[in-house]
Amino acid sequence: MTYLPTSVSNNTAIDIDSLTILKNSTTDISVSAGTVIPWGSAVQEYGTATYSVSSGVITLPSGYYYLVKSALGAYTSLGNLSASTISYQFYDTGASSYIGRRGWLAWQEYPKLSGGDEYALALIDASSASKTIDLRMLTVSHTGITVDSTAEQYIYAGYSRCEIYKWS
Amino acid sequence: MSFIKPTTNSSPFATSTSWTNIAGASTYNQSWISVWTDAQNNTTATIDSGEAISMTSGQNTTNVSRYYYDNHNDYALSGHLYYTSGQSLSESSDEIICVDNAFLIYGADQMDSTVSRTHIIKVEP
Repeated sequence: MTYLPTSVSNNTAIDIDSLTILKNSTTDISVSAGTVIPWGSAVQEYGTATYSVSSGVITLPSGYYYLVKSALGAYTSLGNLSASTISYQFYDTGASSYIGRRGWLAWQEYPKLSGGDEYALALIDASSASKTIDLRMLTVSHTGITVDSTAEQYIYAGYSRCEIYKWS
Repeated sequence: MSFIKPTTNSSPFATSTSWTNIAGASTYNQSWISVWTDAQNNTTATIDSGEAISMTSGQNTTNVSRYYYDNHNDYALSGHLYYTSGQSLSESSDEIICVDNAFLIYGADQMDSTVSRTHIIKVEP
């Protein structure tokens, strides 16, 4: 439980310094388990922040807390439409371990025994030391699934993004 | 550590609101936000000051479409509106996001108002 005193009059609910959205640097990525998404340029939606990204590994500078959320866009072939699923999760490359909750994309919201929503998310404490993370595929139901495809029907969906909320 | 900042009225929910497309606003505290629907059935919201994060998630009544906020039309900020019997080989999150002081949604003319929602959370006074 968080106590909210009435003495502050700023009328804001979230005390964030910045919201940065990283875009995938590459289209038509054929993915399999373990594939790391190669984040690239940033869309700065609020505040100012700069993140170093190398081969998909994002460096989160020290002195802050971060909420990272990521949802992917992907394409499958018609023959696999009802059987296609992917899942993905943030990975702490310093600790060599997965962090947070995985995201999940199922075509046509096809009913599955296990599901969730499209967002992988993790809450990261980098208040005393910087952290390095990436987003990598956990499961890919079959070959032929491509992330951020430019093939048929791509105009009907969005592309992948990584939202980085920073606050101190 | 807290992700929530003190507010004037002791509730974090008092500074967030939501609307359903076409049906209009459904809100706990509407004093800082205005919502309406234009002739194209697009829904627009404006806030009285500062900036806010807006996140819309939805589903279509028919057809699939990419949708996005005005002035935030990058594919990475866009979402996918599916409908239950549709066929779509490309999929993505069904949520769109932006930070701004006015929020007009494009590409959502067939949005299902019963299952779609928007959260607007103020981040700047």
